[in-house]
Amino acid sequence: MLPGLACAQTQMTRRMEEYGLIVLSHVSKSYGDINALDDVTVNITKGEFVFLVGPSGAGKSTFLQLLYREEVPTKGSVVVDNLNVTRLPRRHIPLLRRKVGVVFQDFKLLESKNIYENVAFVLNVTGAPTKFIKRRVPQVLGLVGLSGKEKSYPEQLSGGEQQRVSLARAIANSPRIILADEPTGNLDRDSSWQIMRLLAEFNKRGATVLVATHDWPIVDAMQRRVVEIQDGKVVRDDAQGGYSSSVSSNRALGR
Amino acid sequence: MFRLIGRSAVEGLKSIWAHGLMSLASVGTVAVSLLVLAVFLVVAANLSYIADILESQVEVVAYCRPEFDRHWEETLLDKARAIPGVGEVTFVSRAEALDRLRDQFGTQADLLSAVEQDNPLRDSLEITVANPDRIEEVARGIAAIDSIEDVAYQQEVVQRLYSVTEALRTAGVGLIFLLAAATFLLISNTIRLTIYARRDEIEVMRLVGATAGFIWGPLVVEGLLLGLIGAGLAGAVVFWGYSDLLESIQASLPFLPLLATQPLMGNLIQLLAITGGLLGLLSSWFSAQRYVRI
Repeated sequence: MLPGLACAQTQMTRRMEEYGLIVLSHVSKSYGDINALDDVTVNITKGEFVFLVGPSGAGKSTFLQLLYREEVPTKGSVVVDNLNVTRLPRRHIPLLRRKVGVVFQDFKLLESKNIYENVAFVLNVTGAPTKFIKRRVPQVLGLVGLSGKEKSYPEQLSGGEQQRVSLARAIANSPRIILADEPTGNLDRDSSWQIMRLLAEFNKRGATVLVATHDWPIVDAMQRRVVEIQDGKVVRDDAQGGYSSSVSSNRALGR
Repeated sequence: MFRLIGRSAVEGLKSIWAHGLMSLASVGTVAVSLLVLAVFLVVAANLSYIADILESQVEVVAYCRPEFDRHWEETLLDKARAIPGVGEVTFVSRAEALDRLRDQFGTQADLLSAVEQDNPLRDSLEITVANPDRIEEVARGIAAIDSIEDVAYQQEVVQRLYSVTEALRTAGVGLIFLLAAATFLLISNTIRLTIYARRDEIEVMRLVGATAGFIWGPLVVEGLLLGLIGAGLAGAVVFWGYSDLLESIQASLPFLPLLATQPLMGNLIQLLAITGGLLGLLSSWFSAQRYVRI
């Protein structure tokens, strides 16, 4: 290949990355008469850690669901890691989902499988070689501090531990993006912090992390980028900020 | 690919085992439906076989006048053979006719002792017809011969047999569609149950980017197996049932021509397996498509 061409290509790639790993432009999503999202434009670049905040029902979950093609926008376009999610053919959906690790408030662990099997399962169903699985599962369980719990079943673990298993599961496939929907919603203070620190750790290792949360003390303490959604609209996008800004507090007081 | 198939097979089997009762109901419905199909096919095949034999044997029987003298046998034969459309002509004397009757009665031949003193039967000609369509023409020609009193032929029997076969086939096809629909519903419902039982697992599979094949594979295998097991049961029942029936019929009604076990049963079992397998595949595919979002 010509060096000039290679250079141009690298530049192009770099520009796209700068432009955004996750790009929502003028996205609206309505369910019947209800507008879950209304003309949302957000650009998240590679390596960012973003909190998505706002009251319940503001559209945070819908926002995340659009990113892994659980939902399709009514209007606008969603691009994730250069994949046009809006126009993604059905058979390419798994491709997108392998780039994205998702963590939920209710963990979604399989009760009938032990911890090792829970993590191995996702590698198995995405076609990873057995050798790799045997090496990878202890590795990710170690990352979330659960070495030695392989044989336990989810119900034998605390909520915090269960959420760490689900984190391990989410990163097993080494996704470029981690989405967390209220990951600390069911957890006590200490466990919540553990989870957030792990998310920050994965972010430091290169993953782009997007966390939808109500956990204002953590958001305030971490001082990361905050995107606030109310009634389906982005009302605030601070490069560094707390859970609520003066704008939103004033609004809340004004009501 | 091999891993996908292997995993699908293992998961599919596990699932059948896990839903014991529902699986049993599905297999049972498949078996009963296919059994009814098989019985219809066997009866229809035999009826048309009998009709074919009768048709190939279609012959005109011409009864001579009581006063017919056997001296004229050759002359009579020549006259009959001269009629256009006639195949072979055989002369059957009164004595031969009585012997045949005795054979047919078999063990109950003593019933005939009453008539044996004074044989009431008559000499007759048995005339085969090369082309069954010309049978009436031939019959008329034979009836015109002086020494012949009466002519009979089996056309009507054959035609009635064919129409019964036809009706049976039509009814069979209708019934088969109904049964196929019932089977389809039951299998797809069993698969739906599997989907419900494994909803958490399927949800996780979707979220981590398992391909449709990975998610649907085990479901489709389960359906296929349910269909095949049902077909196997139906096939076994029909096979042994027919073999037994054939044996007892051949013992009591030896003159009734019936199809031999092979190749009828071999073909039938193949057909059942294909039908059962296809039904299983289609209905589970339908459920997978419908109830598992990717």
